[in-house]
Amino acid sequence: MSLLEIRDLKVHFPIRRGVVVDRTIGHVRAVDGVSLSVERGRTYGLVGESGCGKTTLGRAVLRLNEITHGEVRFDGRDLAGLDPESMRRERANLQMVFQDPLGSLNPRQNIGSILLEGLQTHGIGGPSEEEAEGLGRRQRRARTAQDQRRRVVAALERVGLSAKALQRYPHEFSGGQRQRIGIARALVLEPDLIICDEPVSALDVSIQAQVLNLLEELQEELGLTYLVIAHDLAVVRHVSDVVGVMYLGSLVEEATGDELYGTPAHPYTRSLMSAVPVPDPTVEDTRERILLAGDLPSPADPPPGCRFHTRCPWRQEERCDTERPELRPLHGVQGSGTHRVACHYAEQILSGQLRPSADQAERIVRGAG
Amino acid sequence: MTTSTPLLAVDELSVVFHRKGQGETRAVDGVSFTLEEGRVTGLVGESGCGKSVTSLALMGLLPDRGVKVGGSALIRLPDGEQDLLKVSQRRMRDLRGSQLAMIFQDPLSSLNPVVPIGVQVTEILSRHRGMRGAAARREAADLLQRVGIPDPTRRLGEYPHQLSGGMRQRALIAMAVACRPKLMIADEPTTALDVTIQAQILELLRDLVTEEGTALLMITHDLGVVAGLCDEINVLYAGKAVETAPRGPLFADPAHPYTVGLLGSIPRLDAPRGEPLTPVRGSVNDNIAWADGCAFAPRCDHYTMECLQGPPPLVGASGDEEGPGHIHRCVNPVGRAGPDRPEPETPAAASEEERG
Repeated sequence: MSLLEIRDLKVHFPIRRGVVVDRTIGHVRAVDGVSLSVERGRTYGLVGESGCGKTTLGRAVLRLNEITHGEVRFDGRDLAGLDPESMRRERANLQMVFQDPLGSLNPRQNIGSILLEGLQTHGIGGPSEEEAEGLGRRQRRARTAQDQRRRVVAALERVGLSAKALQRYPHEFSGGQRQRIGIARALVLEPDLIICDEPVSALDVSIQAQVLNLLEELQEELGLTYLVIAHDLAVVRHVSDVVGVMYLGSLVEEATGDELYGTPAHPYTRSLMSAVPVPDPTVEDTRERILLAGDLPSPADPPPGCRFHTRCPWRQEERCDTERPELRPLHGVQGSGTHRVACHYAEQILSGQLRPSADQAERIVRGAG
Repeated sequence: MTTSTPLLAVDELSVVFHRKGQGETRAVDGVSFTLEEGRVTGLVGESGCGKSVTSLALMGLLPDRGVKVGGSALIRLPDGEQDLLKVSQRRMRDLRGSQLAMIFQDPLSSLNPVVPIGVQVTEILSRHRGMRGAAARREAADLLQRVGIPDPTRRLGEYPHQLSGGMRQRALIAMAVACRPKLMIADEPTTALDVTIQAQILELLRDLVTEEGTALLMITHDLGVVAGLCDEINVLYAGKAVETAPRGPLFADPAHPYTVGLLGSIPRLDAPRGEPLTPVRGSVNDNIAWADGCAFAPRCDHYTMECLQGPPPLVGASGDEEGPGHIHRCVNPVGRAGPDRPEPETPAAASEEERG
């Protein structure tokens, strides 16, 4: 069984108008029917551009955003139906690492207190039941504090910091160190799942690589499961076993990293990949670039039919603008059989039967340079 | 490359910030490069390497007080050669917009939020080209059209917040090219944008350079962007250029350990899952002053005692196969026959526990 299973998840935010009478005049469909599952010990990478709903999805799993519709099964339990108190308890097993390491650490708390907070909230650490017997209340408390401190130091050491950091404050650390602290805060509770929302996008490239390596080491040592949310396709590919591509609130394609990169089937995935610069001049000079026309449509008023049809270079008459494609297995491709795509014409596009129309793509540049 | 004088020759540019009670900070420490018409020169580096300060110094945008700018930046203008670092403020105002233009990272904060786009574009046209009224509006609409903004006449009346991020950056580029400047500086022009929008903007910049013959100084931290756009690249570290090369040799055969480390830090889209990254260890906080030796030494795996004997000089990369223009600032370059290289050792300056 998958550790995390999301079924037809929808998160809609109401748009309200009016001074005296508060009326809801519409909804922003941030996440609009996403199903995916994350296997234990694996990494699921969720990639997409700003406004595609990837962050909202991550937050919805932790119920930081209210779920409008759908199921979030974590280890068999449906989180969507839990009352707030049970959800609070459940969060000991689901932790999050945020994008902005300075903004997500309280500037007035020292690192020790930041890391201890989770343990204290969830009552983790301390003597076991048998040990606790025969101990006075004060002794028990002392033992608990001792044990919690030990866990905090262990978590800090895991991320490459020392116990010296405990007395210091977030501003005393560099960006990379702060992100390590953010990771330690998640680790200290020994969660099963860590949701990393843009874990490295605020960091310089060399620091970014250090943090990515750290995440990978931790997964190997502790058997962690990650849901990594990022806009950087290369980062996601580097860390993920399975990659899901989101566009305007829904998954358009899902496959293992190798398959997604080797045979991207959805037009959006193809143009997204072709837009990522590669640090190699020979590749840059020869690769095909598919430049998309225009910008992302508003999620408050998504286009009918396929969400991508307004910008799709492969758009076909009728079907694309009227019928919304389901995420379905891709046929006729050698592979693990887990490749799913939400496009009516994915097979024809892959086989080259359908060609992109030049007036749809702003321009397709081959071998520019 | 060419025998004629370059459009802009920056020589030993230095910028030192003085702050009361805090001593001085050498943000830029002797950077030299040239810009030529129709070519793109890149300044690459991580935060704090001095790449943005370099561009601000060239545009005369640094504050007067507390800053000392040294070196020279000779630019070839229609009325003779001038040193950008020494021209009067009044003259600089004339040059900015007409001969020099700059595009910033954050298009929202570079545009005035309470003034319609049209007014901001026509302002430049009236200031530098003396255009007024309907003619200026027509020209402004043409400019927006040229940078790929659909329905330009309507957009002229809109405010910056009504435009998307990519659209705003296009509007800024339209303003920058309004007077066909000879030299354009783009400081992280695509960092705030999504990749598909980034691809659109890079394509636009590429077109401007080839069609108008503008010289572009591209400042970025993204080596991928550099690989696709720049003809010549300067890698900056702690205020100095540590390696300069045409883009081919720089990526194929980097000499400086920092360049190698940067390249090893980037996850590549065409590399399989789990391909190990080999980043530079430590952080810029571990640097030593250039006066004492190589600033990068504490983070370097090829570090020897030689590295601590004063600032390393710029040397040509050895061998003929690299062609001209490949120089670096390392006494112990990567992959080159050099003095016997001892085993990498861990210098004391980078304490193990303070990683990252």
